[in-house]
Amino acid sequence: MSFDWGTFAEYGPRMLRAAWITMQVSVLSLGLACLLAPPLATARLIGPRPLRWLVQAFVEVVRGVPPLVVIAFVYFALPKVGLVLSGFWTGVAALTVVGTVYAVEILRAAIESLGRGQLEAALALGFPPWRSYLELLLPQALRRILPPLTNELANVIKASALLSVISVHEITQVGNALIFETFVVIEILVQMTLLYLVIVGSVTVLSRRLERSLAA
Amino acid sequence: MTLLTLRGVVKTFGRFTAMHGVDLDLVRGERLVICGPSGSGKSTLIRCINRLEEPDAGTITVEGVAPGDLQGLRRRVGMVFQQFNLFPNLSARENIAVGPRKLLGLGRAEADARAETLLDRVQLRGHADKLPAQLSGGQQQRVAIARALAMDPVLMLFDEPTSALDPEMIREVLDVMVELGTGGMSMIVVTHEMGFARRAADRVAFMDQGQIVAIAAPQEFFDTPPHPRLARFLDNILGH
Amino acid sequence: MAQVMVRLLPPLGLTMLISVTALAIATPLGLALGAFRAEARPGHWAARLIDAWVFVVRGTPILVQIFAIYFLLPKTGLDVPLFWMGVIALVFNSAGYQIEIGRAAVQSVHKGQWEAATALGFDRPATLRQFILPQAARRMMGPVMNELSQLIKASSVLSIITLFELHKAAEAIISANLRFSEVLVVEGFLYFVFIYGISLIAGLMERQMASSGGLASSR
Repeated sequence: MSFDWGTFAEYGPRMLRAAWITMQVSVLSLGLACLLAPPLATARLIGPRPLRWLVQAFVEVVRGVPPLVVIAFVYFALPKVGLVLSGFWTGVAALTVVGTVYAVEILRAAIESLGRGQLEAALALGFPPWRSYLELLLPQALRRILPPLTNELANVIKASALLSVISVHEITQVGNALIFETFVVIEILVQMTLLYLVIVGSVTVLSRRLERSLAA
Repeated sequence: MTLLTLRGVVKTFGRFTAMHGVDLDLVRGERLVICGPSGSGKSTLIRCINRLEEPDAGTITVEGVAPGDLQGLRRRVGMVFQQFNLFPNLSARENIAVGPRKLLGLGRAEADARAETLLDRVQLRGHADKLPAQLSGGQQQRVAIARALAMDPVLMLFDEPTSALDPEMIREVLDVMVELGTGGMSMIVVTHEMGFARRAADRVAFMDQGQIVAIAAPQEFFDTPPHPRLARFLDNILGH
Repeated sequence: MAQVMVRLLPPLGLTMLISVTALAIATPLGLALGAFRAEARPGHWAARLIDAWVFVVRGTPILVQIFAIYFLLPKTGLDVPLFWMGVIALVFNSAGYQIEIGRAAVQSVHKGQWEAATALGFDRPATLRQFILPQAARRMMGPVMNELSQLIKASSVLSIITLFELHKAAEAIISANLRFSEVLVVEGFLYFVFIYGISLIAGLMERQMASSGGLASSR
């Protein structure tokens, strides 16, 4: 069996376009998740008891089912509530749900790792609880969330492959379609693998750079 | 001029009663030291004063603070913790200035100037830009004292301020506290440092099992203990 | 809803069977290769191969790994039933993570253990076999339980290559009668009971281990 390098040129452009979709979907989803997570994490930490329980339950349920179930649910539920979105945006919505839940846990762990002492010092000075969190604890917590957050970005990128079941034209969907069209199996699998390794690898490298510059 | 009044304060944690109905009065300018075995309720008492713990019964009144005004209370009462609890991402100056800037509305220049003055006062001139990690325990605690003073409190609470320090650094912190007291600050200090109590306190209180068992001027307290349990405690703590 | 539950129980059984089978193979593999990786010389060719495997598994989606097995295995001429293709894919993926768990477990065993065995006269491989691996295996239990949770989630992806596990079965019911909320709630409930339940057990085991010096999960 010989390896046909020509396929890289032939299908490369399509695969690269798909890679761009993968990156857009992932970054958008995690970005939205980062917007939704702080209020939810705050509610989880210092909100009234029923709200805390509600957020906790939501987090545990989403974490406790396979991502395909979340994708299926979002796919069917959105039209029912009147939101008819394109495949791309349905995918973003589904990945955002999953990403938010993990981001909330990351944020909560980071703030709790700071210890009660910090909070008490802020309270003793006279800061009300919400300002204590927002202005004094959160900036410290931010430094601690970077490693787990980039890990989560890598997870979201890998999860985006599942969006092929709702026809989002990301790497796996396009690669799979190409395999069925052309029967070229190995070369396309290699292209898919390489694309993912490069994207995920870059995220890891970027995060290490960021960590180093934050520590300085 | 009663600054602080406690009447019948009760605090329980689950089935454990930390405070069994405590009464206390403190006048302006008074320096009170509280000592006692662990679990006696000393830390709980001062944490109730600034409401880090919420009493289950009884009243606590600080002069000039309306009941229910939590923020006002905490601005008039400063607290120094056993574990210092400085904000690790802020420099010494920033730690001291953050309260005045964000809560008292001082401008940056004014707050920084106040911070510099206080750093001077706690013998830390020149360390303004250092992060807590770059300071020794004794230095961190002095910054913590300055941070509490920056809010211009009428009462300072100290929760075992030297218990987490290496022995060589205890003195520098106690000296700051003594100077604070002679300058007229009202303070309540929970501590095991009997030397400090003897030389700097107006009254010393002994707490045991959730109650103030004895309270007297240092001379009487140490030389002629007014209560047998206190006598035994002093024997144990000073005997070795 | 009860009807749906009844129809989903056999596929649930397949989900559990395939997950547990994959775990049973991947865990010893992870411990063995992890121990090897911990002991091996840094430039060793096998160590490099293992590192490459871990890198690829952690850097690509499980669906791509499943497709690779699904499309490539038939090309080798072997006629592998769908169930076993699924197991192979899950093992390939899970071992990639468990190699790290195994390595950390071996390295977390107290150095004093090695020294005591050496003092008695055991050589390095024998020490590893007799004393270190059993302890490492015990320390892995918490993370391995967590890995089982992950495998159950991963097994749902096998629905895409038409393996009739829980998610595929649920999909089939939905496309038949379009009552998605009912089916998804039952499906989600079934997954949740197992995944959440197992991760609770994992947490309990990890806390027990923590008192004797354990390790955190690597996913």
